[in-house]
Amino acid sequence: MGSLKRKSSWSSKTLAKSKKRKGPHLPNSILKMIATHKRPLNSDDNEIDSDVDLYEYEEGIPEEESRKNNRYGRLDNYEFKLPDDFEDEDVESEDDEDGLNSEYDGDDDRHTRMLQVLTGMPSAAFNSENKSKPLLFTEPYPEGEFNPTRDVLSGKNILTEEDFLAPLEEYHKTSKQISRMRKDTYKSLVHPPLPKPDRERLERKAARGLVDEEFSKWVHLVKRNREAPTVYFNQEVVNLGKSTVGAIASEFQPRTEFEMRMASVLNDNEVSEAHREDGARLLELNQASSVIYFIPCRLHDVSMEDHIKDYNHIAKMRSLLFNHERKSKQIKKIKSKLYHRLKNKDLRNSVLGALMDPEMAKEEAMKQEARRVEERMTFKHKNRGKWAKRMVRRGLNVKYNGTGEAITEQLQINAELSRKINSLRDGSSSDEEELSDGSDQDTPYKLLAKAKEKTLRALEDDEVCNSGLMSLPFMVRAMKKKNEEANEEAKRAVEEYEEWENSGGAVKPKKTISVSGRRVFGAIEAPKESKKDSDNFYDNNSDSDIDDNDLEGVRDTASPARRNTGTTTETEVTRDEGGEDSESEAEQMVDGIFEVPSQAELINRAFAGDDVVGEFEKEKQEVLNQEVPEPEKPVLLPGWGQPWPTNKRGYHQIKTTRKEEDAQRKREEALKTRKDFRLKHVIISEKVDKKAEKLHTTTPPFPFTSKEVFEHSMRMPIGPEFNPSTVVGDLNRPEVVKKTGVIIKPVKFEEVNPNEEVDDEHPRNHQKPRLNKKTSRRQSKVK
Amino acid sequence: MEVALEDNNLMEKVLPPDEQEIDVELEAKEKKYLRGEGANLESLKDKKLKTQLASREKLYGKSAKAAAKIEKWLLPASAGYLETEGLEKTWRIKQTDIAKEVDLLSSKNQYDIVLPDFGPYKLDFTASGRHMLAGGRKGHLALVDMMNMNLIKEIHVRETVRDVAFLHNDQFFAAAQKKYSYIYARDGTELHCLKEHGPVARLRFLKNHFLLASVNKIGQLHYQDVTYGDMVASIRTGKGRTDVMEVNPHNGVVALGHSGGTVTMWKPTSQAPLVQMQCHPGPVSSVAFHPNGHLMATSGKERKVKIWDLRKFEEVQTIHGFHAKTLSFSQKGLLAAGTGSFVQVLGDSSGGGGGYSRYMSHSMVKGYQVEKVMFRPYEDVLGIGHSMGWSSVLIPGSGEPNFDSWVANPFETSKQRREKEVHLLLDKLPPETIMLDPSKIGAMRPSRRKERPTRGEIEAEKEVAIEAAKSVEMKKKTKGRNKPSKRTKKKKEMVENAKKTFPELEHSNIAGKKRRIGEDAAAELPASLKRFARKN
Repeated sequence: MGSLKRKSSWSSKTLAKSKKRKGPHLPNSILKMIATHKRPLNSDDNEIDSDVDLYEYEEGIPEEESRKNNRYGRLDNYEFKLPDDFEDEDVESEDDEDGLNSEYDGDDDRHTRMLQVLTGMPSAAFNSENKSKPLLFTEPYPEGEFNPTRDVLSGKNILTEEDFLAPLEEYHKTSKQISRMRKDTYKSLVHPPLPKPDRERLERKAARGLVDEEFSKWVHLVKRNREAPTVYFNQEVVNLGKSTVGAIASEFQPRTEFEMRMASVLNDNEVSEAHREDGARLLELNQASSVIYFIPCRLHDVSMEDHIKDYNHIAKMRSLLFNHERKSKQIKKIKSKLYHRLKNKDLRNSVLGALMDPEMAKEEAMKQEARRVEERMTFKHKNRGKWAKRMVRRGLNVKYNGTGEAITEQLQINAELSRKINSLRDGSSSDEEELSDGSDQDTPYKLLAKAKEKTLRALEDDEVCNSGLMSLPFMVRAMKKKNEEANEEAKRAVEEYEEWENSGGAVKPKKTISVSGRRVFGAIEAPKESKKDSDNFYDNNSDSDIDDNDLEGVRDTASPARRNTGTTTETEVTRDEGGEDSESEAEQMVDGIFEVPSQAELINRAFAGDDVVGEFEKEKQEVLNQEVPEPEKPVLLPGWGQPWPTNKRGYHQIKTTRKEEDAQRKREEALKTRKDFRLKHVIISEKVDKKAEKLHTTTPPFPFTSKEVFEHSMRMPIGPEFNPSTVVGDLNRPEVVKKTGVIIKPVKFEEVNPNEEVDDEHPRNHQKPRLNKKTSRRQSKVK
Repeated sequence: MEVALEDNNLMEKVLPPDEQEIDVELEAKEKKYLRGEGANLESLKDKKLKTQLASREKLYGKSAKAAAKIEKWLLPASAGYLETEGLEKTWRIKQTDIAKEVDLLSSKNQYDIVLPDFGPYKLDFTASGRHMLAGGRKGHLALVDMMNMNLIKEIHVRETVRDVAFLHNDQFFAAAQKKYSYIYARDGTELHCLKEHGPVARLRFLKNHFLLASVNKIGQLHYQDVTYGDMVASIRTGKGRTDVMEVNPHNGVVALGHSGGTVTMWKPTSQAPLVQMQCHPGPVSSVAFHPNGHLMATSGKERKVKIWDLRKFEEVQTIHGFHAKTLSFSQKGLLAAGTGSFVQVLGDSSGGGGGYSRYMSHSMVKGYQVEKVMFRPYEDVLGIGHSMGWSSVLIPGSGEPNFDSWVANPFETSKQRREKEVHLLLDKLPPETIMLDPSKIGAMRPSRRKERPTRGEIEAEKEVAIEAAKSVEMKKKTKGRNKPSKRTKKKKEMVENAKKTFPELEHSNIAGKKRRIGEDAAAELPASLKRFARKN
């Protein structure tokens, strides 16, 4: 019973194992078979198992071994114990063998039979197999293609070619083939394949070698092309065909019947002769030819279908025309007044209508003119209209921007119109001139009279606006005050005018101009100026209003240029004085017993007055300060940053002075780098000229990386003005020489000598020597 | 004595050609045409660039070699010279002596034209030397073809003429008259009245830039573009009246000499002078530039003529005891100086510009006052305008023997002239290309010190920073953290941060201003009262 029990447990175990192991997939049929041929054996046992509740006693782990809570020392487990699942692989357990044998003895026959049925092979084949090889199941699953045995996996019992060849040898002992095969097998043992990355690396390496070899032969060619100053692509001259219309036309061959006929006429000598000489003859010929050529052409070519088509077309057109006419007639008949009014209006409004009908145009012009006149007459554009007045009165123009703008716009239009009118009038009568024109012809009398009149008028009509803001009491008061002032001024002005008039315009006003910033030199200039003043007095004043009495503007416009001349003349004067002094000295010396000083000394004395060098130094200092400004000194209120009682250098001060020193040092360095640092007598401006900045580059252009190399490469001009004509072409040849229309073919391999020097004079394609027109002329051209 | 004028190499002793000598000579010339050394290509890492530059350099070398060979062998004429033997001195040789030696054509260039009525004459030559313009102080303008001594046009403007100048060719010339300056055509028609220039003292034309530069009586410098008539610049020099003005032919910089002994150099794009040099203790009476632009000669009223090297702005040579009312350099570098009725020509024996010494001298009839000396281009001729007309003397070795028809052609036909005019206009340089070193055009911008930004700049920068901070797109965060309040707070913070970077600068600026005002007031007070000075 015990053995049975064990068996059953084993079989179930194996089944479970075989199911659990997913790795080797056995075909379903085999699995089924395995299941069926085991089932009958174990069916009884299973029944028993199911009937009787049996269980094995499982001994619990003794407390000493469980090592719970480390209650027991470690040392007590001395005896060697194999792990639970230990199984000696090589030594088969006797129990197993016994069981299996007993099991298989019974169903061997059945099995062979079944196999026989399934495969259709004689049972001997299976039997012999069974007999020759004692069954050994060391593996938990059957051996197969996909389930290598343990030996194979561990590499012990590798299947070699020898194994396959051995049985063959018995039959064909003398076969050469086999011996050769054997040799081969000894030579090449099959090794397992390399890991993938290694394999790929090797592949790449091999490929690289090949590719390198392939490419390296191009290196020289590429290098040559790259280094060549010019690459030529017009090696083979390709015929591009005709390019002009004339050339294409000359090749024309008449092909169709029509073309042939045309050609025959065109090339007819008779016709051309007639064309050249006799017009009448040509006409004749023309008629004749039309008779000859075109009538038959008609007769022959036009088919009945075409004729019908033509006819239909014409009929259609006619009907369309008729419909259109009818429609227009209908429109004329429309009696609706509204319709016609609108229509006429449209016509009138459109410029086209006006253009079409001269009467209408005239009428239109009249109307326009009338409108214009009306506009002028009614002063529509002054703010005297009903609307404008109301707006102004209510102060709405101030309140709302839109209204204000509208009013100002009106006023603007008014101003424009009035200007137009004035200009028209000026054209007709030049007598009337406005005061503001201030022409030279105006006599002072007239001017005075006008001015007086104006001021009087101003005096009279000082009416105050009583509405809106102006009605407010304080505004009224202010206005009054202003008016009074103005009146007083006006009165004074009037008095003045009267005075002038009485004196006959000869009385000059007091010369209020006191030129403060200028000195007047020489006795000639002053009277000149006064004379000028008397001449042009009225002119000058007419520019600014006479009422204004403001002459300061005139005073202020002393031009800086004039001031400049003033100073220069001054220096000259002083110099002259100096010269006189020395002269007088010299005279004295001559008079006395003094010896005459040397020329150099005399010159020194002559220029002793002006310290030119000192001035220049000062100027230089100024320029330097301007271009390299002095560092700013710190801002400190007295007392701040200084502890009291004041020691010489407060904490705060020390800090700032250091900064200051830094700035000062920087400035000195900047001054040292200037070109004029060592040259006392020279100031070289280092201001940046922004306009000239565009003539320089900020960075060297692409292939260049260093400034020095770039600038050296730029030193030689390459133009024809600077180089002999023999070299100009080489110097200016473009990088690529190519004829338009030539297709650039890919580079072809050719052997290139790497040591060969690029010869620019003889390009590779042996061009024809180009004819340079300038060559002869500029033979001697050098610069 | 040996005299040779250009085109006249009969007297030249031809040595048997020594190969080595020729090589040396050619090498020297080649060096000149190479315009300096090439860059050191070894330092370059970019191989492609390296090879490209190397091939370029090779081409340059080829070009220089070809140019040197052309100069050596193909140029048709050689420069003239004056050689003396034994105790003879070149400056003792008179024009009459020279006249005997030279060919007929050259001897035609010695003449005096006496025009006593219209006062001291100013002269100007066209670039080719074919035409001369003479302007008498009292209003006489004459245009002369120097090749055949043909008076093309003569007009009287009936007012003072202070200076005359040709424009780009003989077709137009400008005259500075009493009140305004005018531009006339070749036939004497008045084309323009240049009122904006004011009463002009000196007129000069900048050929490459097509600018007419003038300095007027009140010391204003004007540049007017003659192609489209725009006033390019009007500059107040602030140095007073001057009538000393010259153009540096190398770079187009205008030099003015002032009464304070300074020479200032100007360009139209800046209101401040490029360079100010204290050249003399007294007034500067004239200035001249060597054609290569490196040398400047100035003369002062203190009887000194100084030669300056403009590359270093240093004095190279002082010639004592010699005052020049007018100075002029020839194409070959001879310096003519005229005072009173005496004209002296100095030659550079050293070649570097430092050794100017007497070469020739010419004295006119006593009483003639030299107004202007000017060498005629491409000829060994010196034109002298004086109070009694003008004269022409021979100075061997002064002119460039070979003219370049691309630059200036004395034998120009009218068709060529027209074409040239168009070319000149196409090649016209904009006014900003006038600078001290025009070879720097196209080069890297010179590094400049960081200038302190102005208040306005700082403010603008600040505004930009604030705007940038405001316009930053906020990331959309998860539900709880995307509250509008938080977002606005964050944004405000960002703006604040942006602002924070600026206040310091602002404060310092304001403080600086305050201090300046306070300081002025405090400076006047005695020390004890300084603390009470009002700070505003």
